[in-house]
Amino acid sequence: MERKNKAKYSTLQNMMYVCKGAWEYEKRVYLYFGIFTVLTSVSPFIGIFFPKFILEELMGEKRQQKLIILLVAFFIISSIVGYLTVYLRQIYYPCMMKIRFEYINDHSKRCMTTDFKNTEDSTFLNDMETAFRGINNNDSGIEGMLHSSFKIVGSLIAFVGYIAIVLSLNIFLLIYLVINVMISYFLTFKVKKFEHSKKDDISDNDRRVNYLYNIMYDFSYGKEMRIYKISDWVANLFKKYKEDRLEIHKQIKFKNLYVGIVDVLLFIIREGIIYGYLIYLVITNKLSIPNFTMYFAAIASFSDWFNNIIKDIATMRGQSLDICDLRKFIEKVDEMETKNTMNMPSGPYEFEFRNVSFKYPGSDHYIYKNLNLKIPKGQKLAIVGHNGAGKTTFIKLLGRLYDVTDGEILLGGINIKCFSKSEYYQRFSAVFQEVKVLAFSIAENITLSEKDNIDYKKLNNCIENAGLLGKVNTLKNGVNTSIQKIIDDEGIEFSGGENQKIAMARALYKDGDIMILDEPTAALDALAEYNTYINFNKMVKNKTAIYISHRLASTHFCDNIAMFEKGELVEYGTHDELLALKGKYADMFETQAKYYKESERAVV
Amino acid sequence: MKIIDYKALKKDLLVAIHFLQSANNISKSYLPLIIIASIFKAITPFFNIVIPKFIIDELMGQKRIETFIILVSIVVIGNGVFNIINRFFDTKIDIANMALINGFELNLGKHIMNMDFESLEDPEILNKKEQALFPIKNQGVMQRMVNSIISLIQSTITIVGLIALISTLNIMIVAVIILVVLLNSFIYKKIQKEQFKFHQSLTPLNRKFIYYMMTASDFSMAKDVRVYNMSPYMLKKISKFEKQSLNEFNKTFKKLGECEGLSSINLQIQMIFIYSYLVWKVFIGMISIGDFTMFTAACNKFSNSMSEFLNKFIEFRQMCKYLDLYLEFERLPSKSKKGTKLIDNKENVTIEFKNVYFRYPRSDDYTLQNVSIKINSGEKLSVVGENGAGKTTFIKLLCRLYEPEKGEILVNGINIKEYKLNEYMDLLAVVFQDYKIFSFSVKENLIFNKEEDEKQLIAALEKSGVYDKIKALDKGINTSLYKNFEEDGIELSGGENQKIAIARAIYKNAPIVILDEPTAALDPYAEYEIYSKFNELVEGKTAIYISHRLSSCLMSDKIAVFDNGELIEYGNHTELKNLGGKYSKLWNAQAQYYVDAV
Repeated sequence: MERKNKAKYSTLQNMMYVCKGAWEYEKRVYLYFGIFTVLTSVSPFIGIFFPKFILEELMGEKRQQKLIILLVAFFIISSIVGYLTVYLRQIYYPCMMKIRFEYINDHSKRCMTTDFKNTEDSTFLNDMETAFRGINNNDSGIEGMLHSSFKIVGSLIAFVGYIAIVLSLNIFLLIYLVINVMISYFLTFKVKKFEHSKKDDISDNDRRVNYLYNIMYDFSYGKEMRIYKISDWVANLFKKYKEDRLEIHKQIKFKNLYVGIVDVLLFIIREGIIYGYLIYLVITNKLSIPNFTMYFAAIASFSDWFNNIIKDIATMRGQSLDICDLRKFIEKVDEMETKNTMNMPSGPYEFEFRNVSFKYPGSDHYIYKNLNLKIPKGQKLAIVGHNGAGKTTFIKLLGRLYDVTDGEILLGGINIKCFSKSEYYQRFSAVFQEVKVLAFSIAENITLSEKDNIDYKKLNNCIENAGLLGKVNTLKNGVNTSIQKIIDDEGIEFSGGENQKIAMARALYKDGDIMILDEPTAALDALAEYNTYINFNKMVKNKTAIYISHRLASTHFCDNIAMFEKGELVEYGTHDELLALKGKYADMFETQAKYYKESERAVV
Repeated sequence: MKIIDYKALKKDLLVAIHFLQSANNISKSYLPLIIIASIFKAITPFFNIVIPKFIIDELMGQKRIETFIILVSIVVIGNGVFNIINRFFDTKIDIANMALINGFELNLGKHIMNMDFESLEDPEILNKKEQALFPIKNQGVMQRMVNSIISLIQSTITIVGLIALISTLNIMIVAVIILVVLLNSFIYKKIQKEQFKFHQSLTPLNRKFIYYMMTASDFSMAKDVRVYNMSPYMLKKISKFEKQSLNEFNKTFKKLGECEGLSSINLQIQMIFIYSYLVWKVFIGMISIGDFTMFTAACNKFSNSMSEFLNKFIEFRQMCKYLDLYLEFERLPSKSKKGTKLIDNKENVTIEFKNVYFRYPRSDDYTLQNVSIKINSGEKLSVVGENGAGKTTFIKLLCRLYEPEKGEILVNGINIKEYKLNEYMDLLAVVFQDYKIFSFSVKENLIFNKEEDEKQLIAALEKSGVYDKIKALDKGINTSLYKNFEEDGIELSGGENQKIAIARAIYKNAPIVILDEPTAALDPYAEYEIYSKFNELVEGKTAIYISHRLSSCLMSDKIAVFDNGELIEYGNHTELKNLGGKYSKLWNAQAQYYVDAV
């Protein structure tokens, strides 16, 4: 199975990307974090230089005045640096959040506007989740990389300071220190390679563990968990995979430890040499004691700083990979927008499917082959057929959620690809199979607009036509009642049937020229279903309407019926015509009617 | 005026103790590990503070080479050895942390899986769960908690050591230190208040944030989002919310920054007093230069340790608040069903509801009122009624997912509360309206982890009409469903999934079979298949069947009609049709289109 290929962007490119983003979205970050970085890299030197100056004075001239000046200067500078450091560290945090929010918005926008076909592609779903990791916390991805970038700059500034100090002593010392550090970097690099080799195992494991975590924690699995008594089994599976993951983690960590030990051995040698050298210099009067303390302090911190830089670079590498994932997701180019779009004619609309063939991306199996079908203006067309016959696919093609593989779909004689996607979608009102309501007010769910833009008269009409008026009238806040309790504690939970009515009201409010109804009465009881049928004509008036249902009773209301089987249009005509044909439709109808009729006969 | 808010502090400490107790339960070696590691970490800095004094004293004194060699060896090797020990402990702790978090996730998962079912359908509990988990998943609360505890222990030990060292010079210095610490506590209290206020306002914001994130990335809404152009609308709402949050954040963090800044200046004042004192001591010749370097290093380290301690303490308190939500959720009680009886006859089961009343938690209206019905062994009952009439609730009560408020439910004459819960579940095979198919293999979706009976397995799949499809797959019944567990899993259609859920119920071979809208997603043929095989499917068993498709009532022995929580009609199809009541109305509403067409 093809594994993820090389990262598309280098660490440096991602760093530029993040810095550019930060500049665009919240320039203050540069101010705050910039000053913070400079201060934190400068502050250790305060503790190195001042003691030296004070010692020199104490061992030298012992001038009271100078000592007092030094102490006061020490205090003032430390206080300013100290205050600013902690203050800035707090106030830059909201700035970081602002930047992260912008990327989160980009991510959400992409989720909501990407080509529909991507939303049914499991790879894309995976990418979306991996991308989210780049923005969902403070230490990784975007925010993490910003932190690291500034930290590296800070470390470099301090590092330059340290180099200057060591150089002033002895250049060979500097060279020795650098070689020392290079060796430990090389060793760390080998461990990183090992870590990287485990990446695929880790992501397989993560995927499984995440799934198990979800089913344990997701309340909607609760019934099956209890009735089929599978909670112990799931818990044990979770435990096992977590243990596997821990093993891998142990291996990585212990490899790191071994490298760390070699590091320490090098360190012992280095420290011994430096101490010896410095003591030698003092004994031979080439170095004063205050300078001894200063050099010692500087060199002790030298390797820390260098290690920090190495660590930060390694961390940045990891963060860069997260950002690659994020950018891959956000920057994915949608294919379906045409450059020159035509204006859409006005309704009512007539459609034609001409020699349409279609298969889903990545599949070899054709859902449709050379489908030809005309839908005249204002016609109500019912689509029936087995599960898997291609009914919902038909809707997806008509609604341009997918593009045809071959052939064309014409609207008023023009290929629908010539219109802009958003304008095209504007023309449709739909009630899909899986009803989704938002945790906002009833009014907002139906109108999908802000409060000031709502046409309340129209809203109430739609509510009545959808059969919701009774329920709404019983509510304290009427149409402003929130649905679900997620955002508003006083929200109420609607039943499945009520949710479906909200979806219908939504379709009515939008008043699109083309109505699509995909199993709109699946969750409704017989009476509510009946009312829907009665209102059907009221709902669709003179629009073009497509109606998918297994309930063949509903096909009565449609002008024509198209029956699909295995992607082919096998029968087409009015209800009576098809019954007279005594073909597949008649057969299916009889199958469903059988029990109702038997009952009637039994009574009679 | 109270310097420290003892009540709040006590609460946080209790949370921390509870957390550590849970950690101890997961791994007995964890606490000792972090204590020992902290001790070593705390001691390490002293090498670089104390030994240089002796080196400098020697440099200014006798300059004996052997002394130098000894001293340098002590400091270098001492540092080296402790360094190795610290890295070793760091590694162990890192691994132990991961094991610990795994343990917590497992425990909480088990807790959720075993919670009272009614909690699962309670939006308040759902809310509590989201709030408890969000910081854990997204802000690394557990790791930060553990790290802050380790830092606190380490800083404390270091500080105590340093105070001991510094007081060998002059115990008054300790008094100065304590004074400054007290001063800082005032400031610290203000920080606490700000943090608490922030935390309070953050909780509802987090809730909204999670919701927006989940909704935007919910691909099952994708069609609606595009057709209704919901994206700009949602994005506008998200922006408004973000602006609101950032406002809050800006205000709070500014205040926090000012307070912490003030606190750091305090520390500087303390530092400069001590420093000046030391300079004066050297000036008047009372301490050596070596002592001076040692005490200044000690003061530096002290200052750093103090701010580290304060910082970590603030973080610790904050983490305690988050963990409190988490632990509170973990502690949610179960009114555990303490039945003990075993079931005497698992083949022939009679069910009886006696004057059962039920309403959902915190609801004023009764969902079921005075429901009395008897279902004999082997009887097939259809349950019908309008949406919201109480049908699914009736089933949930029978499944012991909820308990009736008044009245009793009896199985084989005994109140079901008295049966051992595990035993009772053996009686039920249920396909709910919102059934779940797991991302395991087809086989595992039926048998889970029980003993495999391949013949029965295939028979169940055949009866529900999905075996042909499964047989044709490469891996047959070992094929994984969906792709989130195994990457090569397949996606079945809605109807096929429903058939698998039905096969699951058949395979369990339980005496009570309950099907809630089992043919909603099936086309007329598949629906017919289920109906015609229905009697075969549930042969000999007691079956309850909820459906809006009233044609299914013809196969039942009895029909129960619910309306507004009451059982209003009961009888067989012919009786009820002739009654001219609710059932008749429902029936005609549906049948008219089929019958007229004749």
